Amino acid sequence: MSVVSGHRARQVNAIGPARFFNHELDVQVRPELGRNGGFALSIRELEMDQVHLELDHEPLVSLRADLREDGTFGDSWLVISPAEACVLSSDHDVRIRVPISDIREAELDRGVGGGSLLLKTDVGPMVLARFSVGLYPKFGYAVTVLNALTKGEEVPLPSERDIPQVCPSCGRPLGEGTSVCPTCLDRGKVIRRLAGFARPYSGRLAVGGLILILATAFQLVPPYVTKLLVDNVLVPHQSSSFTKAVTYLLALVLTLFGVNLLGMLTQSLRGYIGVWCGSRITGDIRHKTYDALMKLSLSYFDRRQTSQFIGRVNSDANSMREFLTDGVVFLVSQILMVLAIAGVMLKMNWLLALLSFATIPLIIVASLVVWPMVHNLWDKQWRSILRLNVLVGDSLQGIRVVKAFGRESSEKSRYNTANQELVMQTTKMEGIWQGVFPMFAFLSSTGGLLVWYIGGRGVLHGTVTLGTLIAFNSYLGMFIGPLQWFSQFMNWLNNTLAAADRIFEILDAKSTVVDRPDTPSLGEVKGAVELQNVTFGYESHRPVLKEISIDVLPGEMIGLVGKSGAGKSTLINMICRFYDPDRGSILIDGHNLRDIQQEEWHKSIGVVLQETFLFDGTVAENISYAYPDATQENIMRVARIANAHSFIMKLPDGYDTLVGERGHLLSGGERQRIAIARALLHNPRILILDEATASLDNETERQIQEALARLVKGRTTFAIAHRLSTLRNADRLVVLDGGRIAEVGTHEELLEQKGAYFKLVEAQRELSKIRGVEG
Amino acid sequence: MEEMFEAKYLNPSSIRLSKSKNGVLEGYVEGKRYAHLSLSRAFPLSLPRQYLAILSHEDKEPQEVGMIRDLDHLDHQSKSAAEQELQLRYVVPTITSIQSIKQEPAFWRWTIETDRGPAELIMRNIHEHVRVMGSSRLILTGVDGRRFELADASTLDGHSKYLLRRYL
Ligand SMILES: Nc1ncnc2c1ncn2[C@@H]1O[C@H](COP(=O)(O)OP(=O)(O)O)[C@@H](O)[C@H]1O
Ligand SMILES: [Mg+2]
Repeated sequence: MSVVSGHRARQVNAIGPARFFNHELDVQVRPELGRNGGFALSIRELEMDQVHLELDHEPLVSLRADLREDGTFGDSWLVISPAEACVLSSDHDVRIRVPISDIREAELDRGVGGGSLLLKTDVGPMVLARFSVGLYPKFGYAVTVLNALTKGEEVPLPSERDIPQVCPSCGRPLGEGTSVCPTCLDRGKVIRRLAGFARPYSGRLAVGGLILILATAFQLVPPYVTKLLVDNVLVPHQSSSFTKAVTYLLALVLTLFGVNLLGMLTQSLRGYIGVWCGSRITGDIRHKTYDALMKLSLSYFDRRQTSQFIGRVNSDANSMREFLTDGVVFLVSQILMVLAIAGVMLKMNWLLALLSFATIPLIIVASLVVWPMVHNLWDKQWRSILRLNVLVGDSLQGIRVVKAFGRESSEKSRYNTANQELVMQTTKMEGIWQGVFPMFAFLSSTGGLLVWYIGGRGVLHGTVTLGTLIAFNSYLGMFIGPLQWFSQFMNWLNNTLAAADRIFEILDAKSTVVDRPDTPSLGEVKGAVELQNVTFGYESHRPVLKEISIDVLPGEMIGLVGKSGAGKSTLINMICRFYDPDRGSILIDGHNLRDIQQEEWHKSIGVVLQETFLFDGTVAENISYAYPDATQENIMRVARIANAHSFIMKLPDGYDTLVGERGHLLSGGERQRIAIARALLHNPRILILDEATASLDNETERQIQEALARLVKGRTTFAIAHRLSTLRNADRLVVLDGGRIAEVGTHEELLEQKGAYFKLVEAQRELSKIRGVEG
Repeated sequence: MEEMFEAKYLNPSSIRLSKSKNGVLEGYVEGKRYAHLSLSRAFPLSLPRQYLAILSHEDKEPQEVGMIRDLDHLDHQSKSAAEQELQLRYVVPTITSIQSIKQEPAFWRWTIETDRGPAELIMRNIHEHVRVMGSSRLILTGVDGRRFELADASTLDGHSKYLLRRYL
């Protein structure tokens, strides 16, 4: 088998390095010529040359499974060719061969932590392969392939989502939706890119750097002046007169004063420059990240992992700033300091200097041992705090439930346990912390003692001056200070790089729903919506919508009904173009939705969702969210249409009432009506209502229904409603079942058919009888 | 309507389970033959051998045939077939020793020995991937979703205990 190569080929992962990391992941992906002339991926993990398996056709897929029949870890291989599915043992002996023609259906049977590929055959069910949960995506693709083969359909190519994402160079798993491997991360590149944020301020930073060098130099001067003071003034000399000595003394003291003053000035000036540049750099980082976030498509935000990253943007930006300003300063100044001091010491007395360096290895070793320990303890303490916080948050949020069930005492004891744990961790942590600094102090003073002894002997012998000895001790203290932090610095660097990387990841993420560059303006939207064989799944191997086709006329009202999970909201997501269909297309007035500018499209549709989100701001601002320059009269007009005007007027601050997360508490129905007004303001041609009236009381629902009835007039409307009765006046009802269209027709037509819709209506009637309310 | 909410506890002597040559759990429940059954634990963590639902997969959606109160009430052959099925449906290896816990940039890598063979476990952090149950029981989840259980930390060898104490 040869690897088809081409400059557009994407080699997702090569087999070599992947083996290094847990053979769990040795997916070999070969670029192959796809149907559309582009290159696509296929999954072949088995080198067929080494296998004695006679196949009539080239295998389409070969996969490694990792569980034996008794549940222990062990490899076997699944090979699928157009004519049969085979299972080979780890030594490549053929264990199972099933002709495709015998298979009725293939299925991924998901257990906990692992599952199996199950075949339904004419002779009963059969297990083809067993594997742990990490291999689900690959075997999900195998299921798709098998089902396509049994139905005689074209075999789809795997998407990147079917292949476990691993780092191409080391084989470690990658986080979802990311392509950066934290281990293989090119540190140099990240640092360069990080430095890019500092570039706009390079002038000031250079000045800061210069001042830094000066400040370092100023720090070096005092011990040297002390030496002169001792040697030339305090130690009596026969030659010099008393007055001359006093003058010299004054001069030296004044020098010290001047140096200290300059030191102070340079320090604060440098600090100010640091703060000035730092705050701007953080601002830039946040700004760029937020811009990038707004540009991304919804599928990016579906992933939990990434939404967590997003919450960290602020703290990440902060640690980048800290590093760029303080970190670099720290590193440079400390290195300068160490070098300069070493130089001065060697110059003053090389023998004594070498002696004082003797304790350095000890300090470095101690720092390498101690910091990881501190780090672990710190981590443990942090986790205890987290647990405690979660616990408090939990019981306070649920305080009504706690009180209602009289569980105060058990909550107290739960808290107590976690609290004790934290007390213990804190004692350990702080205990070690208290021990660390005395230890370093002890180590450095031990070095100092050596200098005192040897240097003291030198003084007695007259080979070393007293001033040198004193200066040496001062320098030694300054010298050892930075050393104990160096290994900490590596930690700092790593954390910063990780933070920077998370930010860069957001900056680099590609929107999956993109505008074509040269799309013409749509002009006036009439409101015809046509879906042609739309197939879509949030995960590629599990389609949620299957070959949906409907043709909706301008101004028509479509009611979407079906069980929960049938795909109603997903269909609406497609029409809103929050996602692009995997197959098929959506046409608006005959234009493909993909060819329409998203911004223009979103201005033509009005959306009211079940969970209405109000932003921090006034009622008026929330209604005019999409059109900030709407007139007050217009805002009130749409509020009236939405049946919201009267309740807004009852609020003491009227349209200026603050709402949103921290604002005035509005009821669900009130929020809903504000959301409807918001959707109305720009007079959309197409209206989308996803359970806009669910979970409201009957009276409120009636009011909102009234509002909606006014709303839908003359607009193409897609409405999903929990209570089927609210869709009675829809022009057509579309019944979805398992992602397919089961029925289409008016309420009366469908009732007569006694099909899926009839059953839904009956079920609801049952339910409302139980509840004792009219459904 | 009523009986929908009552669990149907099966008489253990009416259950005959076995594994078909095609690797599927099959058998007789109350005299009826099922070609494809599966088991599901009601309390997988706290009571792994009690309260098991028997599901039949004849239809599109699995249907609950009934519940078994205790695995040990089954006859010998059924019990071993059921245990095997559970072993395959709940792939949660038990950690028998910990070789190493290493921190790499952005990862924790655990090299462990389990009752199902050696394994390597990658975590992004400790607080999201390690769940503490009771006093010394841990559930560990890797980035790929694989789960491992540490039934009783106090029974581990010294090295493993040292590693656990150090990092947890
Ligand atoms: N963001 C998402 N990511 C993954 N799966 C999703 C997502 N949203 C919905 N689903 C799944 O898609 C299916 C259809 O969901 P949905 O369209 O919301 O159904 P409904 O008809 O109740 O509105 C469900 O199985 C649901 O779990
Ligand atoms: Mg929905």
